[in-house]
Amino acid sequence: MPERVAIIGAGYEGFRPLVSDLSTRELMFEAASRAYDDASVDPRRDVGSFICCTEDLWEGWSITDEMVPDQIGAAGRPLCTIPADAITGIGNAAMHVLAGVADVVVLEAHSKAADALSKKQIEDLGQEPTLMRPLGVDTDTLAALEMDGFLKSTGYKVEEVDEIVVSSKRRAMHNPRASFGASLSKDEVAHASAGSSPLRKFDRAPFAEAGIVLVLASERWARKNRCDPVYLDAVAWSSSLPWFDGGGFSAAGYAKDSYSKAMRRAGKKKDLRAFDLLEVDDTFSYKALQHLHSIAGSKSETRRVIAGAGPVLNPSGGALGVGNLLEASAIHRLLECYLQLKGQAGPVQVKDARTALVQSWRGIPTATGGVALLSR
Amino acid sequence: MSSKVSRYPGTEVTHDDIEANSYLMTHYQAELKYAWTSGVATGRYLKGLKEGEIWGRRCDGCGRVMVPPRMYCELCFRPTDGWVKLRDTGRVVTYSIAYVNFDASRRQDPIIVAVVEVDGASPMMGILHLLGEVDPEDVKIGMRVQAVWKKVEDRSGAITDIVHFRPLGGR
Ligand SMILES: [Zn+2]
Repeated sequence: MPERVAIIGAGYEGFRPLVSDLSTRELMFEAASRAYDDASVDPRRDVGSFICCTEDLWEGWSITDEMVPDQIGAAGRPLCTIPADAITGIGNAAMHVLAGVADVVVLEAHSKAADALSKKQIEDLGQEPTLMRPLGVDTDTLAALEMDGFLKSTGYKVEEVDEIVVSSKRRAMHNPRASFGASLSKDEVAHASAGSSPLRKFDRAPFAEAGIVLVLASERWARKNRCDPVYLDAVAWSSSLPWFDGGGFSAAGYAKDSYSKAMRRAGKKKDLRAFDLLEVDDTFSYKALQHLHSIAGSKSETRRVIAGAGPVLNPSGGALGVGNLLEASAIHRLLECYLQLKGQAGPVQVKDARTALVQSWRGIPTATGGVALLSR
Repeated sequence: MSSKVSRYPGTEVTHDDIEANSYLMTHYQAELKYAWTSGVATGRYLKGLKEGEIWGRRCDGCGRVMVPPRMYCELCFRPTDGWVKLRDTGRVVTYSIAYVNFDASRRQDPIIVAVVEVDGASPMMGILHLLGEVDPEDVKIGMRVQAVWKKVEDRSGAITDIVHFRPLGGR
């Protein structure tokens, strides 16, 4: 069996719609300080490589590499930024460990979403400039098109989407990191106003702010230093054909592909019953159903999970409950799984959780995402 | 190699073609706005500027006094320990006489851009700002300078509350 990568510490700060008292850098410093304390490492001595996932347009300045080292202990040390969701970041961090680049690697990602006042324009800039952007179609309308295509091509009912919204919002009521918990009835969700049908108010995760840091190490280093880690058994990421380029609606190719690769890498047979909990991307409610369907492989298996027959789906409340954390979306899901597997998830703890799956998505209008498998 | 090619295959797109809209052009102007959270360190720094004061942060780990201030020391990786009121005088450590504006357009009268090492802060801890009330040819590395502040009622809590630094008398 190949050497695994250990997650030896985690730290975070924020998890509010607006962190008004801390700058981006101060937010990162607080998260990093806690992660290093949790991992019992000195970033100035023990860490061989630092990776930050950050996108310049969300930050509002270019070449963000120059702005991140000091506050995470990386001044004068090897650091790179990756303009992608942190699922790609943890893949790169794992490569640094497994390739022997560094024994200890730090992964950081954050959202300071409230700082960006022009969120719609930033999303619009993601549209293809010649054939899509001139039409002036809002990105939520693109989501509405995909939602409609997904429901019609698979035969799932919109009520099944509503069920995900209701349960995520309810779980979020108990998660101290969630800002958008609510006790909603299915009726309230079903009759919420629609911006672009069939997408309604509750179908999109609101934005939130947080800084999150994970400390990764080689299994050998973790054992030598008597760490009590959560193991990253495998990670894979993938880009597939977007639906508007002919990629189809029924399954998210990137999710399906990443799941297959990660399970193969971990030496596991594709079966979601191998996991105690799933943290699946739900930036839009229907995407949770689509992503789950893509990895479950069938409607019956998807419905079995939603019905609560295991594994537990998004015990954190997901993005619908916690908020859209931009490039920190995956690292938030990894954090929730880390806490679950360590038995530190508090009121949202899944009993006897030993294995977890994270599935993440880069967000609209991409068809890029990945899967990470964790165990303890 | 390309200098030997007198004519490339294909159809040349000329400046006139573009001016005449002979080809499909798409125009998209994104107006991106941000409201960056100043945070603890920059917030206190800007408040000080409004009051005509320059504040730094002290790290008891390495003994440095940092300006602009920050709540963490990047060398020690620990929270910094306290606020230090600095003087508004200092020394020029590097300067440039610039005949270009922010947008690279030419200007007749140059601006003098300098880094001023502030008195009371650690060596090489300085403020990027402008020099004024001095002829370009008289600027020297090591020159002693002092901040010229805007009138109290005109200050907004911004780096521009300092109009510029000017030579300190008796240098
Ligand atoms: Zn220090």
